[in-house]
Amino acid sequence: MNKNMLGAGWIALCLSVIASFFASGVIAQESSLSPPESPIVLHVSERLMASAPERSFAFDIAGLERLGTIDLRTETPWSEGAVTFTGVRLRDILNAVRARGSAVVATALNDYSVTIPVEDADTYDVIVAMRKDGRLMSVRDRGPLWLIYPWSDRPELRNEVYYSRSIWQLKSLELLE
Amino acid sequence: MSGKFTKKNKILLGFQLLLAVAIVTASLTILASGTGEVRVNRAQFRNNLTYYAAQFDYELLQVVDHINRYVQDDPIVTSDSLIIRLDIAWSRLSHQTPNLRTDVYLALPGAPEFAEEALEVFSAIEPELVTLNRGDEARANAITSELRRLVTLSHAVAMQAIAYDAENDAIHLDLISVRNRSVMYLILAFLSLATFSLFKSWREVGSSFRLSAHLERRVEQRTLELKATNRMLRVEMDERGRAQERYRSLVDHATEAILILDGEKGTFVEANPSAEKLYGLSRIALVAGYGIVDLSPEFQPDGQRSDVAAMSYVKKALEGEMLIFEWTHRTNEGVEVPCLVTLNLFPDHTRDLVRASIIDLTEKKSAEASSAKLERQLVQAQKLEAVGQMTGGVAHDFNNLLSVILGNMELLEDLTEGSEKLELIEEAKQASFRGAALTRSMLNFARRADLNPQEISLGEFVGRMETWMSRTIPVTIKVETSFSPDVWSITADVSGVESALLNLVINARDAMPDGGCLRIETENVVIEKRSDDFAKTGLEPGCYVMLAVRDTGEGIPADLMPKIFEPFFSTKGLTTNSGLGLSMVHGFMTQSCGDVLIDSEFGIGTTVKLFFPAQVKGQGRTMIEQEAQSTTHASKARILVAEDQEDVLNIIVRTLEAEGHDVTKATSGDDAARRFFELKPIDLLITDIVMPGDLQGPSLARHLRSFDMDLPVIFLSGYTNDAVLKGNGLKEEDVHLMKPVAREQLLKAVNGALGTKRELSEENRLRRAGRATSVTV
Repeated sequence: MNKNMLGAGWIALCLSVIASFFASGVIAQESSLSPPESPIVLHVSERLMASAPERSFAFDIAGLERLGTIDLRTETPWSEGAVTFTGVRLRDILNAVRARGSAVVATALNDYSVTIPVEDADTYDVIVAMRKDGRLMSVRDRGPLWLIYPWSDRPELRNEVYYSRSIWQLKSLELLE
Repeated sequence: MSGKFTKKNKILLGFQLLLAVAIVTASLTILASGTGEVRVNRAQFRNNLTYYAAQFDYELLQVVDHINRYVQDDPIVTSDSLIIRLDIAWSRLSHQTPNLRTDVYLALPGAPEFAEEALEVFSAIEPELVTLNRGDEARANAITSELRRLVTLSHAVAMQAIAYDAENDAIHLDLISVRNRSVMYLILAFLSLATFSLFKSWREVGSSFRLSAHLERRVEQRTLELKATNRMLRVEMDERGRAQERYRSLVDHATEAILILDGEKGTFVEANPSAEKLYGLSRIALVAGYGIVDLSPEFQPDGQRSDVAAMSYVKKALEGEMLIFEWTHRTNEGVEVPCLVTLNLFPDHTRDLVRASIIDLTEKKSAEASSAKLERQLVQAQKLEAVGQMTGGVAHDFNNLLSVILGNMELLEDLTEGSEKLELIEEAKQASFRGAALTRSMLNFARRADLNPQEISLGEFVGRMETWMSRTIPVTIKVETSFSPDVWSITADVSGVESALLNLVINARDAMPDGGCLRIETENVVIEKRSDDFAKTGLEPGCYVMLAVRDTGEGIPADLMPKIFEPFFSTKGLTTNSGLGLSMVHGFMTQSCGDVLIDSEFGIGTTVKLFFPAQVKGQGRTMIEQEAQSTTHASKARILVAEDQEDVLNIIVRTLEAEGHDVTKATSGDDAARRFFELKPIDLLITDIVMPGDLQGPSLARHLRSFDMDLPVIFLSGYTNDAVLKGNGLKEEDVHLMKPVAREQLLKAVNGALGTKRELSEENRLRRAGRATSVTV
């Protein structure tokens, strides 16, 4: 797992994905989600009523990035000074998968999980960040995905509740009804 | 009391201050704990240090577990997942960017060593794990043993973390409890402060109430005192005012003139109303600069110069003397007034003042004069009285003597023959008659007080006298009489009038020894005011009947005129005349409220006029008034006329009807009565006195008056017998006219009677109603 290799790989992947997008000429939600080529970083599933089938989606970095990223510069309790995170808005992800639910259970690689109400996604620009200061994050770096809240912009988020929701080493999002 | 007051207040104030201090301390403590808490909070490990530390244990164990499972060929665990596990554990220690969290963790005892150790181990086993094969237990054990060692260390740190957290909690709790305590103290302090403040305020209020109550009481007391004082003052003021008023009144109402003079200049400083009256100047004028000398003649009656005398008097007064002297002033109008002056010093600090009391002596002096005159008159009267008494007695005796003489003469006459002798007897008789006349007049003179006034018509009177006079008056004197037919009647003593007339006639006769003309007149006279003609008389204005006796005799010389009425004064010589005649006439006239006037010209003749007050017809109105009333035309009335002589009746009726009255004729008393009842009401009855039939005039009147009390009656008579009229139930106000009645007289009488009726009716009505009314006089 060389970061440089990874970086090059990302670039190549991105280009090809963009090319295939243009080629297909479809920028839809569900259908445009091309199967991930690079390693899956995020599973998004929806568990509705027991009777309904479970829907699930898998994203790789590129796939997530295709959904549209934003930069969020904020201070965090785990860093000194402000850091620029680049990521996809949580609500964009949820919209992309046409998720309907009231809460999202976010689980990390170490099985730590936290329940995030969907209102957070709607109200705030909560992002699923894949880059920290422009660089992708390794697991050791608390990557590959870290749910980041806009603490600097929103002082009301600077409390334990939201800090605990800021899950790193994010691996899956499960929607609850 | 105020000292104690302040002390208590001081104690309370002290308490308050203490409480305030307590509050401040507690507040500061709270603040401090608050800020401390903030700091502590900040210091608190955000992600739950205990969990963090414990999680690390778990991660490590996970790695160990994964290694074991990998080596035991568990298909779930892959090489990648193994590496991931390591990375997860490693990420916990990642302090690529130093941050608060890891700092806190690393601050735990044993943590930095452990972290360093852990990183070393991780770095060491990383390549091992990458190249680890499944089934390679030996290598796996080596790795895991290392990791296990880490676990122990990690756990120790975790324990530290727990302790740290617990400590933090403890601190936190402490702070909280401190804060709570502080809050509690603060609250207590506040409550106490509040209580104390309330208490203090209450006390203050109480004390202020007490104070104000006390003040109020004091004020009330003072007010009462003031009120009492006020009342007293007012009473005193009133007293003083009244006293002043009284003194003011004393001076203002003093009958004598009271003045204050300036001692130096002799001018008036003050003057009371009597002074104003005395001098004829207002107070303002007097005070403006008049002085004693200005209001006095140049010389006093005793010859002194007024200015010199005045100043000397004033000087003496200023020296303290009290002076009383007579002084003649001259008023502003120039009238000289004899006065009695009293001077004395008037106390004043600023200047020399003299008080003068001046009494007008004019009246006193005139009173003195008149009293002197009275004295003389009294002496005179006494003399006269003495004389009267004497003459009375003498006359009486003398009368008896005369009777004797006369009687004997008459006897002698019968027995005598021969004209010469009879002549002598006759002369003797005449002398006796004259003597008798004389004594009669003397007796009248003596009896002067006993007058018996009766109503007399002078005209008739003189008529009666005529017969007598023809005997006493010689043929050489021509007698004429002249009377107005409507002459008013008078009220006088008959014998008095007789003797007065007699006296006058005798005087007139005696004044014409060689013959002449004697004229007797009667006339109505109205004296309007004090006209000059009658100024000499004592006659009040009014209606009078004048009886005048004129002669063409020798007259009375002017120088004898003043003495003419003196008793015993006679120009005829004492032998023929008593001298009492005119004085008697004068006395009688005065007594009868009339007077005598004599006009005489020496050598031409004398007229003696007797003025008798005209008879007022009972209601007290003078004839003038009655005249006045009769001129006001009475309204149309119903008149009943009773007269047996047809021609007289017709005249009367025509006269009355011409005035617009409603007249009913009757030719007798009975006839009249019948008519009265047929025609009632009648306003006036005019009746003859002597008529045929049962009812004569008076009785007719009485009869009709029994039905109408207020009926006025006018009597007509040709006879003059008073006796017929008087005492027949006739009223005083009844008019009595002499036939023939002149038109004017009749009308006047009618109007008067009708007017009277109205008044009388009212009066009688009131009288009958029982109210006491005074008859208007």
